[in-house]
Amino acid sequence: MRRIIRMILLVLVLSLPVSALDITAPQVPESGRALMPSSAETFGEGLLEVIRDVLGYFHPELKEAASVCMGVIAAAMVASILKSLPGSPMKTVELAGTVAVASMLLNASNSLISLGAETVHQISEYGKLLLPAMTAAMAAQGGVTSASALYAGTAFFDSLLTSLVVKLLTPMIYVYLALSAAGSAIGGDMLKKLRDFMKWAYVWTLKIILYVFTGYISITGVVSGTTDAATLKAAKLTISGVVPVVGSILSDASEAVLVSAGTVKNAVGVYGLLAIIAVWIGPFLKIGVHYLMLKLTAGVCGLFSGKPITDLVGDFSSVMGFVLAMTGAVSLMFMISTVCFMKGVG
Amino acid sequence: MEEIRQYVLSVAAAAIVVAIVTGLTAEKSSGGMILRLMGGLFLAFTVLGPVAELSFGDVGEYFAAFSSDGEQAAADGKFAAREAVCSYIKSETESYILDKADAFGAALSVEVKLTEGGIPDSVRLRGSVSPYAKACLENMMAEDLGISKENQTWIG
Repeated sequence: MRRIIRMILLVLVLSLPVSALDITAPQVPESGRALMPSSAETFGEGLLEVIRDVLGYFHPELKEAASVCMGVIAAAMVASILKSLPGSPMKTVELAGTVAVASMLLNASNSLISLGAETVHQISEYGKLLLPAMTAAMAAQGGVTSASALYAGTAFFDSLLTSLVVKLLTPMIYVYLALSAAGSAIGGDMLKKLRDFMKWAYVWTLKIILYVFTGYISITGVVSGTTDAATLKAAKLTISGVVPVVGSILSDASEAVLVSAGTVKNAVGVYGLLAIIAVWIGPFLKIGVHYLMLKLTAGVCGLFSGKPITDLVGDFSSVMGFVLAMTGAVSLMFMISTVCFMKGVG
Repeated sequence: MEEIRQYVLSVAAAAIVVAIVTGLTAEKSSGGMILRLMGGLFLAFTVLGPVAELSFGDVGEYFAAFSSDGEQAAADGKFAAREAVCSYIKSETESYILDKADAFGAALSVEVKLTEGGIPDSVRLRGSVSPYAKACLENMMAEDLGISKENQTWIG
């Protein structure tokens, strides 16, 4: 009974500053609404609900990817049968097979590349709304320096990464495919080396951005966290020096606001994390299924088809890997940033 | 960013053109050798030429814009927290005075004003109160809450 009364009193104490803070998480975008869990109170339960819901999408995606891959295997098989016929023009058949496989895969890949770029855009737009809410909640909890540093870092790297995705990385994917198709059709080492260079540049661009971002977050977290902790301690010392009764009221007030700001920050953070996952996981699963199916197709083609067609299918699966990395990098960045905001001061 | 995109596209286009041209010529003929050499030079020029012209001078300004947005968002949060603390202190101080007045059997309405730092600065009290209770309350507000007698306004 005493516990219940204490709980009610605690809720009453906290309810005033919470309503005064008025910080809420932005609504999840339309694309993630279907997967957003009904209750976003605990992260674990919410995540389980998202995963349970997204598995329902698995079967149709698998079916779609399987039909594309069956077409590719059929084309590769026809090309290898024609090549094995006596007197057949080997080069022409191989070129025709490569063109057929490339056009089949390009059609499917194009929509997935666009889906990846669109997902990056949506996560970035949602992040732009989430960041000010998390920053305000963290600043209300006393982490003014950490909050503004985290905001600046995340917004900067998000802007950099989103611009890179739109203006460089997505065109690079098409260039990679063009080089791969041309390399398979024409042959020769130079195009393959350039294609490998593109792959290296793409992967390292994403890696470097994530490394630098993580480094920035770690260093600013330590430096500004210490500053904020010192500021909070100084404020508490000042409060304790005020007239006894007023000092006690001031101390209670700041303690209640700090606790409620922490509660608001965690609630906004958990909702934000689940919203980012809800937007990201559907496209990730769709692209991931195509990625795995193309890897499998490349393996199957390797059994009976020539190297150019097998390499081409392998390159298309690499492209799916690029798109996965692109969407994964942006959502991972926002998740790391949100968790850092949630971690708090000091 | 647009320059980088143009750069990547031009390198890829140049590589494809060079690969097609060299692929069409016989590998060991002298003409083929010259074509491959020229193709190599052309590709090297395409790859290395624009690298020297790239500039990253405005990254600092770019970051400063986000930094100022972050400071603004943090200031909003700090302001909201301060408002919440002030509202809490105001209501708690008023409750404290009303409790003390109640102990003297005085029915008052109280309005406390705070300094910018959130410390009680002045008080306005309405209602009827005995001279003894008034004197006790005045002393209590000065000693417990730090509100000087000059800043205590009694109405009614």
